[in-house]
Amino acid sequence: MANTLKNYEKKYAALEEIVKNLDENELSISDLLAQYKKGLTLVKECSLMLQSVETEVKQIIDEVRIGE
Amino acid sequence: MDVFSVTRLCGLVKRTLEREYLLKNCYVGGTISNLKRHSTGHYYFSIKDDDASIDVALWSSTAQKKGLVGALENGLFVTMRATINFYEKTGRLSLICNDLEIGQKSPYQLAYEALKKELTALGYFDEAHKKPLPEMPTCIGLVTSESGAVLHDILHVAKQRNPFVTFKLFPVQVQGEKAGPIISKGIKAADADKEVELIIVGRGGGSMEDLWCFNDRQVVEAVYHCQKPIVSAVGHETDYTLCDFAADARGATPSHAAELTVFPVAYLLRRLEEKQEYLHYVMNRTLEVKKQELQALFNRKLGIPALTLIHKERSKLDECMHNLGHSSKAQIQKQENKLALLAQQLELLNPLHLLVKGYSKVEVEGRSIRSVKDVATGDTLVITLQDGQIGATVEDISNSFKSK
Repeated sequence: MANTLKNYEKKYAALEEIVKNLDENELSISDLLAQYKKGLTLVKECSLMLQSVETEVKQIIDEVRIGE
Repeated sequence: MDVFSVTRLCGLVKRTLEREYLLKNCYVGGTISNLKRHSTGHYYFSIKDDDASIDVALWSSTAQKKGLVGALENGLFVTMRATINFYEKTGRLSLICNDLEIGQKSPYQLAYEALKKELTALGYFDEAHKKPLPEMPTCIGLVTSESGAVLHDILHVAKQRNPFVTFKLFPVQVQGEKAGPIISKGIKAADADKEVELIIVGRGGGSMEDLWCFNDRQVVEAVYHCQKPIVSAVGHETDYTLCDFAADARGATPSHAAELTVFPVAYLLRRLEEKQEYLHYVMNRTLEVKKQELQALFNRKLGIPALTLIHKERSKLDECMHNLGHSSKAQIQKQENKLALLAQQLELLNPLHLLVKGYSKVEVEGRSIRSVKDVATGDTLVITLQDGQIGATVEDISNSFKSK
């Protein structure tokens, strides 16, 4: 899980970098498309990671039904 | 020989008795004994003298009409008007009482009342003198006949209630003139016995005369002076003797006396079980409360914060995605704007615009005409305007513009 989280942070930082780049610089259409696709991929990956962490947390909460 | 069926025989007896005028409304005098009041209000008793006895029924309606409710008691000498009745089902003969007059009291009754009065004055029957019964006696002394049903009844009830209670029998004679002193001796012996914690004195049901020894002065004195708690159980529920009044408690019947004195083991067990259940309940309840506290602590301090963090992260991610889309669209918009500008500039160069303004294109045989030198007189021109073409022939050529 710790690995997943470190990975997530890296990917999230990359995503922010892309958004910033798109925001501030004028790109060629082909660059724009490439960056946009890369950004979307990062969003998808981050989202999946969050989901897996959430599932894990919920599972732990479920397991900690004290005394049942 | 004539053989009667029982029905026929009983019918014959009944008719014979009913024909006998003397038995229809006869007067009979005697002492009341075995008086019972049924729950319906009817009275049943025997009327007797020294040598004979007959059952009597006094209907509730007659008793009310004649004001006899509550007036009858055992030992009363009465004269009554009665009709003889033969009940064929059981072959029993009885009297139906039509009216009744209370006469002299019997000698028994008078002696009983005199003794009761005297002993009452001496405090023999005072509530204050009565001792409480021990809650759980382990050894009970029985002063009764060794052959009567009483012994059996008491032991039977006691065994069911508590098999750990032991009994010590002090066998005595329980009827007849000599019984009084013997019963009294039995009570004293039980009182002196070291193991006995409680005494039951009594006998089963019988006629008033049968129970009479329990009105004996010596018996009543022995009961009164008894150091141990003593329960009296003489005859049936309706029989009261002086022994009953003097005792610490009265059992309506011997079985009832056993119920009064023998503590039921089942009840003890149930009490134990209740305590055990309560302990379990308290234990479980406490555990449950602690569990809930721990669960709440976990949820509050760990579970909920973890989920909150994840949700926060998710909304950040959502925002990022939104920005990604937004920035990309902005970039595309910029490119589109540029494209539109170029398109506009291009549009301005469209030759059609000149035609609209009234200019036209002139061609000869597919060649554009830019100079007068390009045509000769007689050439066929094709002139293109904004909405079509005109065919014309050259008539005149000039090198200068002529104004009109």
